[in-house]
Amino acid sequence: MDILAEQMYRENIMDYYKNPRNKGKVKDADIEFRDNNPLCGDEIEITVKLDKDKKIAEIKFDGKGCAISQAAASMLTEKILGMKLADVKKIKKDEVLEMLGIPLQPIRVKCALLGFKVMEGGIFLYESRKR
Amino acid sequence: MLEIKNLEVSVEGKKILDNVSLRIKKDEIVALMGPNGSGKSTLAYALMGHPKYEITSGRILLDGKDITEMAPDERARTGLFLAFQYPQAVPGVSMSNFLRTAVNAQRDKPMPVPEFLAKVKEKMALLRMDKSFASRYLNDGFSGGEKKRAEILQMAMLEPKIAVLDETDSGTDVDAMRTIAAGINKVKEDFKTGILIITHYKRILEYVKPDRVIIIAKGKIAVEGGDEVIDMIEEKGYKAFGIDDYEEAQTIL
Repeated sequence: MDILAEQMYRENIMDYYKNPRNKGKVKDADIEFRDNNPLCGDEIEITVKLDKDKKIAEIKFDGKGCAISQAAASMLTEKILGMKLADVKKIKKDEVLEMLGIPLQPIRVKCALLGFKVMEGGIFLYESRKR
Repeated sequence: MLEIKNLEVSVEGKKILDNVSLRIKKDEIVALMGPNGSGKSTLAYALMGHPKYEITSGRILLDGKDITEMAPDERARTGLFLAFQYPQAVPGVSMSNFLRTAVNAQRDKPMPVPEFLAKVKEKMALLRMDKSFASRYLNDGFSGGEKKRAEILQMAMLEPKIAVLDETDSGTDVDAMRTIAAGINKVKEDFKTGILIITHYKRILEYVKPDRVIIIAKGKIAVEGGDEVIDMIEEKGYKAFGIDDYEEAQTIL
């Protein structure tokens, strides 16, 4: 990875961390889930409102922790807003890591994927309740 | 099109520009020349909205929109660009961060990083800038040529409708100047940018060919013509146009 790309992706992560998109809590959420990384203390909560086609009509994340965990969660909410739940479930871990754009050490991968994990957990809980 | 109508500009109560009218059309290059202290930079600053330069009468229109009262950032968003004669160093702000912030300020939604990256790489290659440039602080420790390249890089990223280039050739060696000229020409070709190029030297105008040449003296437009004007200045100086020595002309900083 060249120095220019790395620089920009780093700045992009810091931008998401300092100016998070979709931060907060959705009212009357259909999906609500939270999780943390016990080792480093990162916390993420995601709340989602669905429309009648099971598309994500509104999504917010809340939490605290390192820049990677918070930025990745914020990017994830932007990426999946407007998507169908069925399609959200198809998203691979690698796609989430690609959004960050910089190589991560194994311990930081957990941070980067926390939001993704919360979303997975939220969808699972929502679907098992429906049944 | 940028229309400057009967512009009068004062600095600290002193009138510098007097009844200047000028049009720069889309896809047109206008060269602005003139002795030191004639008001060239004053015009550039007044166009961009520098608070020290008070417009006492006249209007500035960009594509028919009156920008006379706008703040500099609004003017920039409307499509006006100024390349500074003396770019300021901003330690702590990286070139890449600055560029991205500037580009995104013009857009409703931020440009995705991969798209931005591809674009900035293309423009940096055009301007023969090393990739390490982007991680340096804006103009901090830049050489004269690097500063001017950085100005043109900003122009290339912002794709303005009208660009005012204030002595972009000064402080550059001949190779840097050619590269800069190529950058200017490419921006014009790609985005049909209208360009007002302020310079003292014929050399840059051999690479960035002006459609018209304007001489400003004592804050007024004195001469308007074509290439022959440039040759005349080069040969005989401004005296050829009945413009005296302006030793005593007040230099405006």
